[in-house]
Amino acid sequence: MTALTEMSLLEVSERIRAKAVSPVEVTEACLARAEATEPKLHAFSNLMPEKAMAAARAAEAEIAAGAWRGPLHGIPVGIKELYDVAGEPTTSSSRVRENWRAETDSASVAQLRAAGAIVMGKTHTHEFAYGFVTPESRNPWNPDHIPGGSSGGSGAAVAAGSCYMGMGSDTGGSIRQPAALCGTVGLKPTFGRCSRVGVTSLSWSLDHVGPLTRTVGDAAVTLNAIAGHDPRDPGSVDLPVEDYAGALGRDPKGLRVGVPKNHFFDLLHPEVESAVRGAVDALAAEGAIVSEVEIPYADQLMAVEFAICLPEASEYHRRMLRETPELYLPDVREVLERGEMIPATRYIQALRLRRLMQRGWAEMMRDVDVVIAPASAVPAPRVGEEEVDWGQGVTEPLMATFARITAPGNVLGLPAVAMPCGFSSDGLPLGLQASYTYP
Amino acid sequence: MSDDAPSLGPDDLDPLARAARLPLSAERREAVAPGLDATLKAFDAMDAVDLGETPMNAFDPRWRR
Repeated sequence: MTALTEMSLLEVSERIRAKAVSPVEVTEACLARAEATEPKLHAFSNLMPEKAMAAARAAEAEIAAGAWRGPLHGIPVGIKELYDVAGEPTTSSSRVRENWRAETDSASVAQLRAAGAIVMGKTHTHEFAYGFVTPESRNPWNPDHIPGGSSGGSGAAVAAGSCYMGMGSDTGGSIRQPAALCGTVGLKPTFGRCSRVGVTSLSWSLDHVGPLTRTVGDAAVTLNAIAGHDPRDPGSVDLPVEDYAGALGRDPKGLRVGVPKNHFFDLLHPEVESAVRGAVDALAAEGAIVSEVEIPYADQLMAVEFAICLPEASEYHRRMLRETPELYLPDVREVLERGEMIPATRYIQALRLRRLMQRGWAEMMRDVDVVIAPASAVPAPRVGEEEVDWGQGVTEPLMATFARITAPGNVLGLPAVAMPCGFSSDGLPLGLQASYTYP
Repeated sequence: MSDDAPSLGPDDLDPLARAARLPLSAERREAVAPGLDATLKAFDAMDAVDLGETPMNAFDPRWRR
């Protein structure tokens, strides 16, 4: 019999709805799982067992009275340390903000609570979301390896079975990359689909919020709960929220799949490439129509990402960097200082080029429904590794290795979902990302 | 253009940091210079694209039908 903590969110939700299991039992199981795994994984920065159990008891009473709110009712979830949770610290996993306390819930947390979700606690982020490692946390598949970042705490918690959904944020890949490294689903919605109110900013032009889950269905019902217009977020889009779970289970026959012939398959771990192409072949066997696509402006993608992200992040940290620079992690401090010296003309050039990229991708996407590419160029690196050795004298800093695969989705604001597609010979998860469809 | 552009050294960061009103010690300039040099050279890739009259606020990342 499958343990509660090994089920998907929707599987547990059905059992809760049928009153076969109570939110109290489910939350107790997740807390027990966290107690067992946290000494090695450190996925949580702030586990809240008393508040979680109180919320679970309230959910149990509501459901017993016939007031089931929906698929998230009674479901334990984790919240990335960037998000405000009322009455709790919002440290962004940084000593700079160790005394920062939220008075109100962030928009997403308020929406999740309204849907009946149980907030288990806060999950670690790479400091201020500015990295791909999440140094406090470890990968559940092999704790000698990183969980990825910056939403590595949520990725580890979901993969370990300590919660069924972990909220993340994605500015250059920080939902999709830890999802790939931890073997979960990670959804970066379309820019503006979900409110960023109450979430610490990294780069306003590139920030997205979204969930890490065990299945695509779990991500879809979570998106149903957190999507929607928020006039308090200037980037929020005022369009109706669809039922994102309505498309689940569709036959892939006739689905037009684009596979990039440039950029995404350059410098790739061979097992990653094999797994992703194997997944495409599986779709083709089910009737999908596969073709190659040319990624436009591929040589400029990373320049645009960093020309926008670096100065915006440095501007957000302008005061803190001058007041308490020594409290930042060395890698974050260095890139923040670097961002202070980017010429404004380069920032503006990147914003202009973004428009041409948008047009180019829209043109490219006319003949396909979805583009499938790797979600990470490599399986999870070992803790402490700072670069990838590609052989023949070619090495690459880890940030560049990860960013070039996932940042295009941020530059363009297109929806992208990472999902597992296999394992490496070392037993580490491999992930692909799908979408980039231009609506 | 990247091949011709001179590399930035720590001393080159002094006027840049002063213009940004960012106190940056010699030790910090040593730490930041290599990354800044590499970043600015990477930005040269954008120069290969003719932007024409495209304004800076022409991109709207929000989803629209």
